[in-house]
Amino acid sequence: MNILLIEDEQRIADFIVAGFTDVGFTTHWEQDGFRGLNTALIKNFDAIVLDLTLPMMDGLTVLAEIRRKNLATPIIILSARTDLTDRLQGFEKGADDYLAKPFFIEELIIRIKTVVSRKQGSVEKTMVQSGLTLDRFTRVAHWKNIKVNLTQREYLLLECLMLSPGQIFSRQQILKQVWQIDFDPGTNVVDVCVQRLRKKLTDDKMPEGEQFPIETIRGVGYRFNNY
Amino acid sequence: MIQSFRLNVFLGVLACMLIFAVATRIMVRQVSEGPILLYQYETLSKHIDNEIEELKQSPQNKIDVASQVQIVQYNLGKSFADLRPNELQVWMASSPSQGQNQLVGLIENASWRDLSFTIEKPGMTLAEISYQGETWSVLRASGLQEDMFVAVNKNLLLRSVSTIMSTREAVVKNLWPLLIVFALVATLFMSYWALKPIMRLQQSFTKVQLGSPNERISEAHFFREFRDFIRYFNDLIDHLRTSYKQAARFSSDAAHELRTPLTIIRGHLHRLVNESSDGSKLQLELSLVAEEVERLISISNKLLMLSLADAGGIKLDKQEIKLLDLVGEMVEDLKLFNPDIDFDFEIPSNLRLKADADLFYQLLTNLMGNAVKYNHPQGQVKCSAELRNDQVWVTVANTTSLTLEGLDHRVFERFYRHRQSVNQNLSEKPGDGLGLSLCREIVLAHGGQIEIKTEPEQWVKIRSSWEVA
Repeated sequence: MNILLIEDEQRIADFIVAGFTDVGFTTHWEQDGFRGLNTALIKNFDAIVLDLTLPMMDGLTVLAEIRRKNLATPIIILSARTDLTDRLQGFEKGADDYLAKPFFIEELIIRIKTVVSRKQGSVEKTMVQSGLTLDRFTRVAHWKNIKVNLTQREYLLLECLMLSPGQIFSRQQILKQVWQIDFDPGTNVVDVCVQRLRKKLTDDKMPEGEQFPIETIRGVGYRFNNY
Repeated sequence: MIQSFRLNVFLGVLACMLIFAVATRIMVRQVSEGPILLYQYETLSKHIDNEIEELKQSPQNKIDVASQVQIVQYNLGKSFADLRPNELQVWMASSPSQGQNQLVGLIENASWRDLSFTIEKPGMTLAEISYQGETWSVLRASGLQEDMFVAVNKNLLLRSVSTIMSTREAVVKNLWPLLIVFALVATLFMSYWALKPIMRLQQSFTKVQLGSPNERISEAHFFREFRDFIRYFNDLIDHLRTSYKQAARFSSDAAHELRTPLTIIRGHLHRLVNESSDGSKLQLELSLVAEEVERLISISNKLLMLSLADAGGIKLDKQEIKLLDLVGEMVEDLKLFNPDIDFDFEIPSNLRLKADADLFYQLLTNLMGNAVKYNHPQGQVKCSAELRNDQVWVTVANTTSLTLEGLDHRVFERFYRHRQSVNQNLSEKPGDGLGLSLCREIVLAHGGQIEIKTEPEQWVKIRSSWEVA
C-alpha cells in the first residue's frame, strides 16, 4: 500500500514510517502543508495521513484543497486537538477518519486498512490469520475443528489482536481499544477474556504442537502469532 | 434592612409624598392669610367705590353728611356676615363722630399704602393702626369733596379668613381617602417607572453570553446616567472573554506540546517492547515504563479536559442515551472483571436521558470503576436511576473499604485522595485523584448536580442529575 504522510514533527514521522514499513506500506513523507498538497495532487496514493498543525499551510486547508480537486483518496487526520469542533470540522471538510494524538501505530494502520477497503467497497466478510478464521458478520470463530459463537467483547478482542499479528498489545492498550476504557480498572478483565477465548477455541483432542495463536508475554501483554 | 429595591423605592417615594402633603398643609395656612386679606380689602374697596358713586349721583343737598355716612356704614356692614358692634367705622375727613376722634388722631401718623395695584380705581389707600390693643385696617377713599375713611377691626377680617380656611379643611377631609388612593397609585407608578430602565438593563445583562465574541451592551439604548456603568460592565466582559480565549488557547497549546513528545515516547517504547526478546528483563522493564507513559497520557487528557471545563469550553454533543442498555452492558463487563462482587441495577427500561454520549460513558465508567476499586472483595454495587421533577437522577451506591469519615464533597476536588481504609493492610490503589473532579465537571457542563453521601454499614452513594430526553 502506498501512503502519503504529511506531518511536521520529524520524530513522530519517523516512528510512523517505521511502523508502516513493518507492515509493508510504502510511505512518502512530506514535512509541510504546501508540499504535502502538491505531492497529493501529483502522485497517486492509496491513503493520506494528515496532521492538522502544519507549517506553510494548515491541515484543514490542505484537506479542503484536495477535496476541491475532486480527489477521493481516503484521508485520516492526526491531531493533538481532540475538541469536538475540530473533529467535526475535519469530517465536514471530507476526512474519512480522525485519530487523536497520542495514538497507537497499530490503530492507525488498522484504520488505514479500514478506510481503504471501505472506499474500494471490499469489506471482507471473513478475516483469516494464522489458520484462524473470523466471520465479521456472524461473529463465529473457526480454529482447527472448533467453531464457536463469540460475544461482542470476545469478538472485538480477537479482531483487535488479529488485525496486527505479531504485535504485542499491553493490557491497557487492549482495554482502550476493546472496552474504550481510558483508565486502569484495577482488574484482570483482559486476562479473563483472553482465557475464555482460549478455552472456547481449544479442546483436549488437540495435539500438543497445535498452539493457540494468542500468546501471553509475561508481564507485558498479548500477541497474535504471525505464522 | 429591606432587601427588595422595589419596595425601598416604593417606601421612599411614599415617604416623600407624605412629607410633601404635611408641608403643604402647614404652609397653606401661613401663606394664604395674606392673599385672603388682600381679597377682602379688594371687595371692601369695591363696595366703598359703589357707595361713593351712589353718593355722587344722589342730590347732595337733601341728605346731610352724617346721614350719608350712616347709610354707607349700614350698606358696607351688610357685606360682612358676622359683623359685631363697633367693628366697622365710617367717617368723612372733616366730620368724624365723637367715638371716632381717637381713631382719627392715630391716622395722622400712619403710613399709607396704595391699594391701586389690586383695584382699578385710583385713590384708594390703606393703613394699619393699633387702637385699644386691637389692629384696625383703615381705607381712605377719595372721589368726593372730601376723603372718606372706612376703618375695619382686623379681627373681623381674620374671622372670615378662618371661616374660609375651615371650609377648605372640610373639603380636604372629604378628599382624604381619594388623596391616599391617588398617592398610592402615584407611588406605585413612580417606583415602576424608576425601576423600569434598571430592569431593562438587567435583562440585557443576562442576555450577554461569554461564548459569543462581539456581543456587547449598547450604551445608546439607555439613559446617560447608566453609561459609565454599562461601559464598566462591557470592559469586564471583554476582559473575561480575553482570559477565556487565552485559557482555551493555553489548553490547546499545552495539549499539543504534551501530546507530541508523548506520542513519540509511546511509539518508540512500543517498538522496543516488540523488538526485544520475549520474556527478557529488558522487555519487562520497557513495558513497565510504557505503563507509566500510559498513565501520563491519561492524566494529561484529564487535565486538558479540566482546563477546558474551567474555560467553559467543554462542547457537548447531546444525544439520547438509553440508560438501561448502557448500564446493563457495563455491569456485564464489570461482573466479568470482578466475579466476587454482587452487582445490582434498578433502572426503568424506558428511561432516556440527554447527554454527550462520550462524556457520559466516561463518567459512568469512572463512577463504576471507583465503586469496584474501593470495594470489599465481596462487596456490593447498586446502580439505580429515577425520574424526579423532569430530571433523571442516576445513583451509584456501593459498599466500601474506605473509612466513611472525611468522605465528603472534597472528593470532587482536584488531586484529592481519600486514603484511609478500614483495613490498613489493603495495598494502595492506583489513581490520580482527578477522576471524580472530572465527573463533576462533566455533570456541571450538562447543567446538573452531583453529590456524595455516606450511609451506615460502609455504603457510599454518588448521585447526579441529568436532563430527561
